[in-house]
Amino acid sequence: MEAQPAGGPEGSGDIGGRSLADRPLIVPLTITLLVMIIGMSLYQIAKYLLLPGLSLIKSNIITVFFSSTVATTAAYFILRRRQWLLQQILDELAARKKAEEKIKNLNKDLEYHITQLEAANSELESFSYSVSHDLRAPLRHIVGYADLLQKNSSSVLDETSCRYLQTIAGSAKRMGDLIDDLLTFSRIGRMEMQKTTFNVEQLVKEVLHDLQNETAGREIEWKIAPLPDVYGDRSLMRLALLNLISNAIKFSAPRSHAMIEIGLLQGKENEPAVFIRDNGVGFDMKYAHKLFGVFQRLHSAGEFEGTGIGLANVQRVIHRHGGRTWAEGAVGGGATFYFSIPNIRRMEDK
Amino acid sequence: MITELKRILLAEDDPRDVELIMTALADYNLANEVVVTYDGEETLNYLYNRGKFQGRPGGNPAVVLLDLKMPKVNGLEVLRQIRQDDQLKMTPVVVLTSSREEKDWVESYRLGVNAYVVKPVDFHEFVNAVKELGAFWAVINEPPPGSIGNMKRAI
Repeated sequence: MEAQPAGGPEGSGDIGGRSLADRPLIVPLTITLLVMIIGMSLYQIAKYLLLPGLSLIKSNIITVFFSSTVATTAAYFILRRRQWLLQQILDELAARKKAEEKIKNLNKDLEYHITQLEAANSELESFSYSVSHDLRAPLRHIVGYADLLQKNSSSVLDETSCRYLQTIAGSAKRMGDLIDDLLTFSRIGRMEMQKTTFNVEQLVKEVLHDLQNETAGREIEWKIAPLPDVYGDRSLMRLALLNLISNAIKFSAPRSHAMIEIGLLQGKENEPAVFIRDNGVGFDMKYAHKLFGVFQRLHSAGEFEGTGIGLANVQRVIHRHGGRTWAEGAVGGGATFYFSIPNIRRMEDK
Repeated sequence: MITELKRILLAEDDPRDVELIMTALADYNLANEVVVTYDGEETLNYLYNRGKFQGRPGGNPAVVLLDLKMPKVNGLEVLRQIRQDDQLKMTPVVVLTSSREEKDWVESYRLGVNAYVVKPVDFHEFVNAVKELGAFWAVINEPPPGSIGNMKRAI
């Protein structure tokens, strides 16, 4: 902030708090008088030494003229400096006032934006509340009545009509899933973070335990490196890891021998990043920018299940921690997902 | 021994939901003992024998299946009044709602709800949930003193 103007060339240190404004005019007058007396004496000495023949009147006139010129010049400069210092003070005061005004305006702006943000947040909250309450009900009715219709008229309906009814119910059900996913996504953005320090490796193990059903009957080789402590919201980070690891499990399903590696990337230039690598179907790097978008999918629903919210959730969690996510992959060559957050420790720091 | 059916009070403003719930309960022959109220005010009128329910057979329902978002008086307010009333406070209340919102279930439990059930979108899950609720609260569970089923049995 440029609230403090730079000091003058002669330094404004002598302005001090009490400052020149209070100093009486007597100072420059005293100095003038002193200069006059000194000048006169100097002249008398010089006169005797250099011009012994000068008359008394002449010499006195020259003395008065000479010393008053010197005194006036001195007084002039002293007054000017006084003026200049006063101006400096006035300028500084004006600048300070301006700066204060600026801060006041900035604060007002900030307050306005906070109010706006709070309003937007509460609107978002009531929006998702109403979505949660009102949008799911008609879907439930579509599914319910389609099902009842099928049950009541299965004897008269042909196969195609039955399939139509199933499609109606299936689509409504899917929309219900999408709405639930969107609500979760929105909740991740709004919920208050409760930060603690926890160990990522421990969290990974808990997530793997939760995913036992999905790994049952699969041959998966796990490689889990020692992972560091981080400072963040444990339940949000758990959700991010759950999404990343279940993706690795899902997209490596076509491999008879799946390999999933979870480790810490700690290059000298990069910030340390946790990565999850699989040898699954991978993706085309051309579409890497789409991976973390809401409901963006790089595979058809027939190939792999899912709505496409998982990685968007991951990115939102990491962004809320002030970190970033990225991915590398190749079609048929597996995929690696990275995330880094501030305060993630290098292993040797532990 | 004669098993009396205990009365279920279904507070639900959406007639389609009512129909679907009744269909599910009918599978367990539980539909006959269901009283439906279509908003919060009517629900309270039933519980307090007021308005069109004045002079109804006495006793509290064995369970109140309570929707949250209802006209006039919402479900949470109904729940609050039930829990503050000496005659009603022991009545089991199960919230049956579309809402998965945290503030709804936290507030419901804070007010002393007995269970909180989110209506599943999938119809089979929905039917199963309602059936199990009906069976548990109207058949398996022994309701508190003053409930309709007990009174009949006591006589």
